[in-house]
Amino acid sequence: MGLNGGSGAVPVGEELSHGLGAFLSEVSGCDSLEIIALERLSGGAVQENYALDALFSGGALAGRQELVVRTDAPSGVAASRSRADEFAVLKVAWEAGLKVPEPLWVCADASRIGRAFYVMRRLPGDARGHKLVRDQELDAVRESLVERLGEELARLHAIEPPHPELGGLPQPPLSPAHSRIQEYRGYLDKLPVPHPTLEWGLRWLERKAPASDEVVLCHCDYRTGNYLVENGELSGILDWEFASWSDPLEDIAWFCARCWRFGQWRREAGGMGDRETFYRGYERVSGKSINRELIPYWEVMATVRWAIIALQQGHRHTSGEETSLELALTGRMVPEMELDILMQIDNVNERTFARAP
Amino acid sequence: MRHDPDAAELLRIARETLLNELLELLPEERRYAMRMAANALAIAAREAETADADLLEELRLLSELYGDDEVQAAGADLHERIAKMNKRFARDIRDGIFDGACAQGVQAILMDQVRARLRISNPGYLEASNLD
Repeated sequence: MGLNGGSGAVPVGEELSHGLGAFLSEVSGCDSLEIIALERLSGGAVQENYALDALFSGGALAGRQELVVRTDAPSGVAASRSRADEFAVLKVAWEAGLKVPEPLWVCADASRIGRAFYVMRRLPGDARGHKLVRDQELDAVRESLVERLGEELARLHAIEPPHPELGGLPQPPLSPAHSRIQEYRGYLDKLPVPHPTLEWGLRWLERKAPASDEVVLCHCDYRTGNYLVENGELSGILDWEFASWSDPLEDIAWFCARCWRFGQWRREAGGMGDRETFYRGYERVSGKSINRELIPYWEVMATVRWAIIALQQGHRHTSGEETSLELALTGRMVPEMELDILMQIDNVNERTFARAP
Repeated sequence: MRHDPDAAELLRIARETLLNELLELLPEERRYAMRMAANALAIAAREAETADADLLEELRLLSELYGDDEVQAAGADLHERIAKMNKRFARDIRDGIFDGACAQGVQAILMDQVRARLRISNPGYLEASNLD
């Protein structure tokens, strides 16, 4: 879901271009505006992203600007934030000094281009996970990249509820683990086929749920594939649509989970580098040590979540909502995650968690 | 065999044709879709090949848990029985029925069920995991 240009960009109609032009002229206070290029970017099943190059005469953004416009896609996915809420999170992250695209303007009024959207600066770089984990030119900088990603996550997790700008997010849960379990069971109940192994995973998670003493702002999709790398350096963290108040370990475990290593199993931090390097960056900035005992618990949670997302994607195909070979095949990947869940549970069953019943 | 060649054989030869004769004609950026199509055909061929064997195996596993009588009474045919019993299995797990002493046995049954499904959807993943 990278915001980088390149293959997959498709031209878009006059109507969108016209609506965006009028909005940008208004909010930037420019004398005139010329849209040089507007192209839909590939990726983004939940949102649509457009690359916009525009020349502003006067106003707040005078000059030639490279921007991204992010809109709702026709097909919404549960648990994803509205554009306005996502914009608010991005703004808070930007103001906290995180490496994210600078958020510029939000338009919740669906009448402008047919749906809500916001505008941010476009950052250079490549987000494609399969490329990043295999690119030999990155080998020399992998560890520093992973350390940097740990540092950035710690900066995000320093933001605690309540926050005046983030009133649009769901209330912080009393127990992030139990709240997730309930959410995931709700998704399973909406699907036509029962899944005993996923129920087994969820029941195990319920019985082993640790007491969380920390709830912070989480990205909730912090992983390889959702950040940009340019010339061997982190250039931006993307895709904030799932951000919510949760247990910081949920983000840490999601980043390290097997399912996001793109086949590079031994590089446990996102298929990119060493897990301890990632932790080191995180711990240096947060000043807190990561409870390593609890990571396996949250990695089971991560695998269950990925399995449920895959089920939902497969069902999007079979229900006819969006027919696609890729979605259909994703649905048939679920037994892979189920095997992982059973093996992960087996591996950690002997251990005890902070307050296991 | 009702037809010669049967469904599994048709899917196999269709896949071979895509990969051996057509793939090379595509520009690089379209090959991914062709490989996905070939993968879909491979899964379908394995599924066709097992016929009802994997369903019978799944039913046998459910019988281990609930007994033959319950499973027979759950529906008129194989598909209905499996659907009903899996629904009950899922519900019982959620309700904590299998929390206790039988947890190890249930986990083993789930593992067998998942293995059987992987042998169809991705046998390579199963093999790689055993080596891990």
